[in-house]
Amino acid sequence: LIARVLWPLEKGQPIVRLYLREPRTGILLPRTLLADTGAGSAQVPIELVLSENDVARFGERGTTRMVSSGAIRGEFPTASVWIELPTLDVSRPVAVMTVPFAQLPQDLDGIVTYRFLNSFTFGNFGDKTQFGLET
Amino acid sequence: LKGQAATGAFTAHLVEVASQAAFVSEPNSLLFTLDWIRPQAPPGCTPVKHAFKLDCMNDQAKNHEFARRINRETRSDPASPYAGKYLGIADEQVVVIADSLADVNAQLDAQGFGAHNSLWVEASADYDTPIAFWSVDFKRMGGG
Repeated sequence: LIARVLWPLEKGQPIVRLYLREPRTGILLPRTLLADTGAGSAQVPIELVLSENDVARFGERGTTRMVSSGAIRGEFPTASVWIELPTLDVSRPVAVMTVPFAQLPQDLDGIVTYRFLNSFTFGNFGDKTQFGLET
Repeated sequence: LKGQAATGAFTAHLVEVASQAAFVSEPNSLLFTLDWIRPQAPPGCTPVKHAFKLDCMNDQAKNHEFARRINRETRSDPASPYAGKYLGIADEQVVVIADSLADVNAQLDAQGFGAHNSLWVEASADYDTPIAFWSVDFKRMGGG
C-alpha cells in the first residue's frame, strides 16, 4: 500500500515536517526541516542535521564526530534521535549531526540529508508548489 | 548574594527548583534539561550551561578512539563480522552487535549502559570523509 505526504514549499524551498520524540517523556514535537538533496550522499552516516538545543533535548546516545564542508563547515558531534512521521508509518531512530543554530537554514529547524530522502520516493509528484515523500 | 556560602546556597536553591521539575525522578539523567546546574556532573561531563549533555554524549575519548579504529578495520575488511552492523561500544569494547540503530540503543539500555558511558557506531559507514553540503548560502535561501 502506497502512503504519501505532501507539504507546501516554504519560501520556495522543499521541506519535510516530522516529529522528534523526547526520550524521557515520549512527547512528540514537530520540526520543519529543509529537504536538501545536496546534503551529503546516500552513504553518509547521518540522516538529519539539528541544532545543539534540539539534540540536547531529544538526543538518545552519541556516536563519533563528523566533519562537514560546504555550506556547513566544521567538526560536529553526532547522536541518535527518534523521529516519527505518522502518515508514512515511520517511527525509528536516525543519526543526527549537531550544529550551532546559527548554521541552520533561516526559519527552519534543520536539514534532512540525501540519505534520509533517498530512503523514500520523493519529489513534487506533479505539483510544483509542493514537496513530498512516499513509501 | 555575596561570597561562596551565598553562591552555594543559591546553587542549592536552583537544584531544589530543578528537583521539582518533571524529569527529576531520574536524577542522573543526562537528558534532564536543567542538568547543567547540578553540583556534581557525571564522570567525563562538563557542567557548562547547555553544553553539558552534548559533552556527556560525545566526550568519551577512549570509546571514540576505539569506535574509530573498529570502524576503519571493518571498512577495510568486507569479511569482518561487524560489516553492515551497528555496534554498541562501552569500556573500549564492542558490547552489542545489532542490525539497526533502534536495536543497538535498546540493547545498550538493557545492559545498563547510559549515554554518558557508551556510544554506537555504524560499523561500515565512512566517518572519515567530510560530509559535503552543496547547498548555497542557507541564510540567503531563507531570505535573510
